[in-house]
Amino acid sequence: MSFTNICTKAMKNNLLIRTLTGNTILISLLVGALILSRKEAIAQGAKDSASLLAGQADKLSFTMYLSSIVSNGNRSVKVQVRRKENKKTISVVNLKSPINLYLNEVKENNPTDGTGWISKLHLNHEGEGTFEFPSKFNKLTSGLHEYTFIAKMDSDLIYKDVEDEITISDAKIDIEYTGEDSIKTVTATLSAWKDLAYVPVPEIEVKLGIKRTFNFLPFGDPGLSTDENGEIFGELPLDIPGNANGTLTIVARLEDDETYGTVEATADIPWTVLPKINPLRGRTLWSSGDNAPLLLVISSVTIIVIIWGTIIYLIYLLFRIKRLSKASYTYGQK
Amino acid sequence: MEKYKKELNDADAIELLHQYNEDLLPRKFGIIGKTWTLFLFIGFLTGIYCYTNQLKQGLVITGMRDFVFWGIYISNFVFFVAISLVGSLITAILYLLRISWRAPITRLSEVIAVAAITFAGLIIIVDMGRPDRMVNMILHGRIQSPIIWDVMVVATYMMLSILLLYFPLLPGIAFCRDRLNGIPKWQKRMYSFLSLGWKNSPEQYKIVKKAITILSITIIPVALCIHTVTSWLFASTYRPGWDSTNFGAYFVSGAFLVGSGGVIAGMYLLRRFYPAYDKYLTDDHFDRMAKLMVLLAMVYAYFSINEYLIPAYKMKGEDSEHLNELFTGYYAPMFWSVQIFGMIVPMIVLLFKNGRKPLPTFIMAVLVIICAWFKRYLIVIPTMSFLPVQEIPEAWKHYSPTLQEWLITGGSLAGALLIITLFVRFFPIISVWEIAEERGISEGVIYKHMHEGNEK
Repeated sequence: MSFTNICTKAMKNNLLIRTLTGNTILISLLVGALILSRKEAIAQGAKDSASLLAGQADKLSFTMYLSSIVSNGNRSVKVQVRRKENKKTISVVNLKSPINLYLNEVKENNPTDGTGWISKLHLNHEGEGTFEFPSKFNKLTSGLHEYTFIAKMDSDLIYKDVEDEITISDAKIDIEYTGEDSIKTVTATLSAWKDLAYVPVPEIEVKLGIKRTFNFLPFGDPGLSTDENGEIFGELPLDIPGNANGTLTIVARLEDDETYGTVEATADIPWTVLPKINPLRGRTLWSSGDNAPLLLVISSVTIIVIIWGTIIYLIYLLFRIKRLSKASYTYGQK
Repeated sequence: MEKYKKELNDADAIELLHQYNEDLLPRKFGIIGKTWTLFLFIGFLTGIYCYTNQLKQGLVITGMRDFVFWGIYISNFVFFVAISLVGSLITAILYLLRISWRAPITRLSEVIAVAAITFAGLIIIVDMGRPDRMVNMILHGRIQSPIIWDVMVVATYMMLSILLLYFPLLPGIAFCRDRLNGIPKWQKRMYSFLSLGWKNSPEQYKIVKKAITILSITIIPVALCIHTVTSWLFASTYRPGWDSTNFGAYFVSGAFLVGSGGVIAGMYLLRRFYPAYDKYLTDDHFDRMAKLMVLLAMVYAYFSINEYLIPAYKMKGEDSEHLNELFTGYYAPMFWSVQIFGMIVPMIVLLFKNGRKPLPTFIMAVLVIICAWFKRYLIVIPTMSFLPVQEIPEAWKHYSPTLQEWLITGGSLAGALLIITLFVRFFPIISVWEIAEERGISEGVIYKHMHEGNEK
């Protein structure tokens, strides 16, 4: 073997080794990065467990919060667990151990009336666990008008003493809308179950609002309480735009009440449909999509039709090629 | 121009055609090829893994916030769009100008274009905090917004690039279908499906040639639009450094430069790992591509001077702060490096005949590509630090990409390279029939003997 050949071979081997070494380093870097990012993601949960298992459990105080929400007759129960760290209250998130939720008493589930254990909840990344009553369960408990919810973490050694209990009475809100001339009012009636019937509840603050994309826009006089008929009135502002269907969603809400929890009702009322083209502002570059300048719309659509028309024609040519392949032909035949 | 065309009798032509078929069939990868593919695959999967984290946790895992809302995803998007323009440059423009030496590099440029534009589209979706709302952009978008134009033009260019890759590839796929033996069934089925039952008939060739002409004419304005519209995303936003009427031309010229760099790098690597390609990707091709690159670098330099010199002469308001950051401030080392190594050095080196040999040309091309990526970084990031709001906390003005953001960006680059690598593995990266036509083999011989040759 000549000297040149030996050198070439050595260079090739060297290149291969360098390539493999380089790749190995890069792959290791990527894997390392993956591990790091994974570590970051589980850091919060790991921090809780590690510090607790190190014997600090007794130094930390945990508080569980239970709340009941009834929205348009659908009931749900929300659980949160918080603890103090450096004089700050923080939510406990992504706990592996479940929270057991009971109705009326801590016992196994009674399939005839739905009392006892009802569900297992896990805290999510925001530190909340929610149980929504399924319709089957609603039917089962329809005879109940007072609910005692108990949440316990009895399966977890660290959190076994953490629990909360709330008793909620059945209540509902009805919404009535009156739209005459230029005055549009909403009446919400709060009533609670008492002596085999729903009776109006006076002197409780109920908020009225309009449902927007992300929140609740209040209207009416703030801080008003229900009158002796359990009613509260609010006058709707007329300059509020409705949704595309020409409706407005009204919300009446009793928030976090000791006796009734959170009770909410919504109702869609007829509202003004906005014109597609706003005659006041006209078609401008800074208007909504529906109000784009006609020249821009026409030129854009023309260009799109021409280019995509060509693309469709080219796809048709592919079909023609496919069709030609079915015709009898041997290589070289003209 | 006629250098590659020779007078051939039929016997020589058939022999040559068989030789091309022999040389240019796709081959199995060796250890380096497999390691490279594995590396890209791991890089791509890492990007996907980090993206699933982003989907779960939101854009909070990135360094972007309310004020600095565009980061390396967008600079990476601009880079991908830029490099994708090479498809139109090499294939369409050189085709319409009847440049005879373009045949061996057309498919390489087309596959680079398809890979880059695919990931340009994907990285834009990655940049969206809620990708599920992409459909809302189509349903409720404003035609007045450059973002809508960009979405439309990216989709259109991707479609045209795929077709421009696919039409000339049909005879090659059919050849793989008929002549590659001992391959897995799925591969055979893939060739069979993609070849559309190609029979090498003159009618089919006629359609392919017609389609290439239509595509070459159509893709040029769309290619110019795609990068011009991308530049308008910036130019239509009120930020220092972006208030420019020069942006469209500046972006397009830079795109052609990096695209040609991509093709040269691909040519060199193909020659390096497939020795038989020496006959097709000759030193002369490197010489011509290098000359083209010098021309493109000069055009880009002209627009760059326009872009920076006049605002620097006026030095008004926030523009002066921005330019000072670039010329002498925090970004100065990066700014001057990309100007010098991404434009001036290649221009000078490639002016010399020895500089236009394959290895130096390859090195210059790699420099151009790397500097092009950082150039896009400099176009997007420093400007984002100048907020049109007063008295805001200093920390809000700063952006540094997070590790996961880098890994997602790296994953997209790996993904684009993976498409090119897999294409080279499974399809002929140099078009046999176009080479044959370029080298004077008659259509009759091609139609009749194209699918002959040694079976592999």
